[in-house]
Amino acid sequence: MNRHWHAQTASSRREWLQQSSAGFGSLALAGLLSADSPATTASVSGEESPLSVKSPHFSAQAKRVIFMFMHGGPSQVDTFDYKPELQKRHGQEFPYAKPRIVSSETGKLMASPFRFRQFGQAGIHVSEIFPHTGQLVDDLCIVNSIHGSNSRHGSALLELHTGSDTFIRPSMGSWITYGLGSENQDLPGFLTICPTLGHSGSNAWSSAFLPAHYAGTPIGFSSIKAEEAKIGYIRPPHDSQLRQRRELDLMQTLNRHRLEDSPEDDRLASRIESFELAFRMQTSVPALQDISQETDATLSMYGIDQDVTKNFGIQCLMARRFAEAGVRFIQVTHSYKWDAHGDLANNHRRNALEVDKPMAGLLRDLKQRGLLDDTLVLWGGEFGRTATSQGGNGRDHNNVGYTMFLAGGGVKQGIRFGATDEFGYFAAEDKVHLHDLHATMLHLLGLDHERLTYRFAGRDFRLTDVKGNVIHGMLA
Amino acid sequence: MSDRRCWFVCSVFLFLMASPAMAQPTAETFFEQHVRPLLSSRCWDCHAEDVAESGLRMDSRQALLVGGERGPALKPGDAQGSLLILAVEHGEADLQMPEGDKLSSEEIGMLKKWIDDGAIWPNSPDYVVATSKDTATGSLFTDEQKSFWAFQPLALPPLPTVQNAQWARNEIDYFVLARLEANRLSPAAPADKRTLVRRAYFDLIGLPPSPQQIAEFLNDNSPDAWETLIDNLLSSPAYGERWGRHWLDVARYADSNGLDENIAFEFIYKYRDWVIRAFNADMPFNQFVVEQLAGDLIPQSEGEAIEAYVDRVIATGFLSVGPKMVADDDPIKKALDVVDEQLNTTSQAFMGLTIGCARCHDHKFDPIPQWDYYAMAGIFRSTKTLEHLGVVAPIAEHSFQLTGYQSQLAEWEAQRHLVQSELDEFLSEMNVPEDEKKQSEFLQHLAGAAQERYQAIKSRLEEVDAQKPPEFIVMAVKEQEPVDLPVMLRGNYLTPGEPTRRQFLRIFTGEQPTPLETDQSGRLQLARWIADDTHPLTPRVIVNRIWRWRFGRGIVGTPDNFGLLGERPTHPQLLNWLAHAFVHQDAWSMKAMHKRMMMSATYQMQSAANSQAMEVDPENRLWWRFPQRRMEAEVIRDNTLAVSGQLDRTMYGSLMTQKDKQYITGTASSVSQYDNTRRSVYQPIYRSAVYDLLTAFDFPDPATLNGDRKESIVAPQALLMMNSKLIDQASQKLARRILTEEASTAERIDLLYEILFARIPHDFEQQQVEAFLPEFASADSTDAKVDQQVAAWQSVCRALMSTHEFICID
Repeated sequence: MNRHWHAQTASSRREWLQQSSAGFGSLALAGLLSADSPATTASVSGEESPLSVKSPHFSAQAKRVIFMFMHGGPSQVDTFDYKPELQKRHGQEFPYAKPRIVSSETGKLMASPFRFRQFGQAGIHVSEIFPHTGQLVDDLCIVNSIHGSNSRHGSALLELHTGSDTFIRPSMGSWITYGLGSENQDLPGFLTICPTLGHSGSNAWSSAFLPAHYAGTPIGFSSIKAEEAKIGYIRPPHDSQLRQRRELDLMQTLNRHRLEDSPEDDRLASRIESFELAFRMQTSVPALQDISQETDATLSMYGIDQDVTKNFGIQCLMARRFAEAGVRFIQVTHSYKWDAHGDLANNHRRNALEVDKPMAGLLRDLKQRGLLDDTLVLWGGEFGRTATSQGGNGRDHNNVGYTMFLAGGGVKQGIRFGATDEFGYFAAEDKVHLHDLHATMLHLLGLDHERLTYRFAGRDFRLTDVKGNVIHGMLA
Repeated sequence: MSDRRCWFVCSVFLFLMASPAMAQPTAETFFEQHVRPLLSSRCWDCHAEDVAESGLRMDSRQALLVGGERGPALKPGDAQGSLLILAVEHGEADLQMPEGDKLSSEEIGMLKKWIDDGAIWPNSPDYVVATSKDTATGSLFTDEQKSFWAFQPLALPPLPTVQNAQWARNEIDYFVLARLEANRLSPAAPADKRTLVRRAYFDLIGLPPSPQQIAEFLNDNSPDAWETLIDNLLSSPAYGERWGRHWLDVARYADSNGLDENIAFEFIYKYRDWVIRAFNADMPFNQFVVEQLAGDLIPQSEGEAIEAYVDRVIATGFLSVGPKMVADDDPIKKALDVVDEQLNTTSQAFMGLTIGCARCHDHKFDPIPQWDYYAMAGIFRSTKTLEHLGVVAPIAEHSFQLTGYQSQLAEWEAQRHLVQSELDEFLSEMNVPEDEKKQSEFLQHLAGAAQERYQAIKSRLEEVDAQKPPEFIVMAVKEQEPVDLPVMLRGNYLTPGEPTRRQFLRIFTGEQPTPLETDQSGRLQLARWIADDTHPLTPRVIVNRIWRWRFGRGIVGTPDNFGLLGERPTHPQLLNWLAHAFVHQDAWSMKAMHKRMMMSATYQMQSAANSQAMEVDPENRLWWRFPQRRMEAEVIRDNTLAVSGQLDRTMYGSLMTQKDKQYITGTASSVSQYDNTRRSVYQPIYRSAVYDLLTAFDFPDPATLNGDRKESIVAPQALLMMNSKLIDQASQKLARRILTEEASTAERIDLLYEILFARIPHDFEQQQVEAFLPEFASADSTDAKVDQQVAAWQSVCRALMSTHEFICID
């Protein structure tokens, strides 16, 4: 089912290149010099590029994805999976068999150190450490029965991002961009803002064997402040851009001269184009990252006016701006902080403080701009944490039952889907494996996970390998 | 990795079989109403015609009675004794069916009732499991499988007859020309000498010819000028750096683990250097195979230097360098995953076979039964790759004392002895008490000159200790207790099936198992079997790889997969001829193979297109022209450094700053460690954080073998050319170099074109560049003017280095 969108009409592109033989320079330079040059000029030849918009397999509500990734693994029973029985039986033995493979010996049942409150019309319990997100609970589809195959950070992180905990495979952002293309030809289709480099690093956003067009483009890294994060080799606009434009004009003139000699050289034509896109990106990306024109109210909604929420707030606001501009898949990462093997109370309180307001800000902002309807938001970590204690006040990794939530983009709102056992350890009802989550996300985007394939080394590959079911109970 | 399920089979069966006999309120009706729908919706996805997981089909009564690898699934009249019920009741931890949600107790009740009532299945078809065995002949493999092209013994095919025989320069050309003529195409004209010299340099050594080297070739009017050029390039040490790097793609070479715990492999660079040396020494490819798989098992022979043996151990770094889930909590799974990675890489690298598919079930497409997978896996399970299987398992390492080590050590010991005796003397002089505790107290309270003297001796001792000559560490595999593995149902070691004995693939060795007779792992036997002159795949696969790396596309378009799902050769007889010549005429010499290919008229064609051929064969599958290629990432960087006079040609060694097992973090965001001008092959390759300059130009993910790099054209490449420090510095250095020449502007432009493109600029190009340069040529020589002039020429250099031509080989 490999779609051959490379079989493009070289001639039409060539015609355009020849028509504009007056020089890209004059065109692009005009854009450069005008004060209000649009950030997103449609590419003339956009419909021919591998990133051009493709029709989904069927019509669907979601057009793009924003993934808020909590690296380290937030605990489900301290956030969105309220377990009164766990609170009652604090200090008692866990009565069931534990998973065959565990990271370490864990102790007795440990109640959440946090109080839970009911929110919204749905009356869903949310931990006190998420007061802002709690208020939006009527918009959320909280999936309490997520499970994956691996309890180690690296493997679990790969599985969440790529569907495989063993092999290097394309990231879900790459699959989605491959399936749908990008709505903005001046921007990459898949952006990841301040990703972490540990626990699988660039493999979390790599396109693996899919063509390079579908690879995630990182903006900064987790060790860099969000306000300073940049795409590699993008030079912000400054005086020397005029000189650069002149150099490009000379280079393109020489390239076009060669093209006249070998008009069938498709790759030369693409090379010429790639430089023009790069030149446009150099204007469009920094413009989108510039949040100085946002109102104080907006900045405050994301918590950008407060130190503790500023960094994740900027990431979330950038995500909205890129979503608005047509980027297909945007990931924001709250860096590797949630791994609370000890002192969970302070760890989770602090981390939640950093992300709660920005998360809620993003959801509210998407909603008020009408973007939430066609944006699928996903929140969660690479796994959850044990209901039993590790070292008395911490929790170990738990991949057999944990929580992620989705919002917008055609998911059912104001529900808890699936459930863990009474202590929040094992997914027990309506279990959702990561393969199922992927299948469902693709479905929400109008893609059939069994038909979105790519042939590599003689085999058709899928995001969901040979597994995954669309979970209809999560769909609106 | 497995295609466990057929996605269509379920609905097809539903459609075909939903014709129940409605009239009788009997066991038949019960089956049609309650049992068949259950089987079809929950079982047949994995246990029916197309996919019979674990050898079990469930789409006929007979198939259930016969059962699968665990035995009969059904005992009519005895639900509780039927494996089917055990599975659906989750009676065993590792036999819990179906996948996904457990059947409801109501559904299980229906199944039980049906079985207890005699398991009536009206008009049941008599399907049973179709194994890979050909039931008619009792043979394990079908005739079709056995006659697959790639499994046929090598034979020397006759040269085809061609009309335009005078075009041909060697045998290769006959095969190419025959197909061109059959398609009414003619080969492109020969390329000019300038094109050829640039092509040959980049092809064989990955570096540009200098203007002097170009002139040398142009001025050599002898008939064997081309051959001389090839011979010279093949004897350049840069050849091993260029072609060794090709092999490193296949070896999924990297300096760190990647995957879950990205730890540094401090010593693996020795394997990389071994590859470069092996290419330069033209080590026969069969030996190259054997040493990488089992070099450690060829003992040091009488009179052989220890270094020669150590080199063979280093070679097995090929097996160690793969990515591993070193932190996996499950030790057995971890060990088997390592085995799987090695087995898969080995079989794909040398034989172009995707054996890995057979870990969970018989290979769906190629004649590789699951049994054969575990028979081969036993060999690697008998090999030690990880020192132990704990969390964050260390990769096995060897420690050697090389020639001269003992004398170095003796020298050091003598040195140390001197300092030590001085200390002892001092201690006795001072009447230091013998008791250790009292001693240290005493020494702390020494005052004045005595304390100073004591400190001086102590620091000298520490200095000497730090200089102890280290042993030579090698990251490579070892032998361990040989074991045979059982077949593992669904790839799960908790469900062992039939035992296997270590041996090779039966599609090649014959169906009667011939277990290895060895008290070792069997790696050496495996290596020699793969590298045998009669192996049908090994010579074909490597010859095809060489062709691929040279022409950009293999004769088999999927160089890593020669199986059923791989592509068929465009020129099967050419491939056979080359493979046969490689083994029987060239004694597995890769240099000889390079020369064969490059001496052909096919190689020496020009790359320009002609419109008629473009219509018939736009992809140039028939080789009617030389394919223009974009340089690989490493060549782009090396070329950039070379033309700007910056390339440091120092060979070998490690540039990595991390120590063994140290974690790699954040390297992709910091280019400081790539801030050197050594060739790209020596830059550290960190998995999950590869040097961005390399990834931008399609450097393949080093976690997986890849003999077929892509050539993408994306905007980040343009950004890199526009804004990277590499191009900025190179264009400035090149501009300064050009300006040191006493020459006119036109001559300088000529020189630039010679350096960058090995050709003379056209008038149009001369004019464009000249027009670009403002009026700098004044007599004024103030610094400002000089800077301006450099800046102007730098712009020209950057523009030219950004052209498509600069990074292409014509």
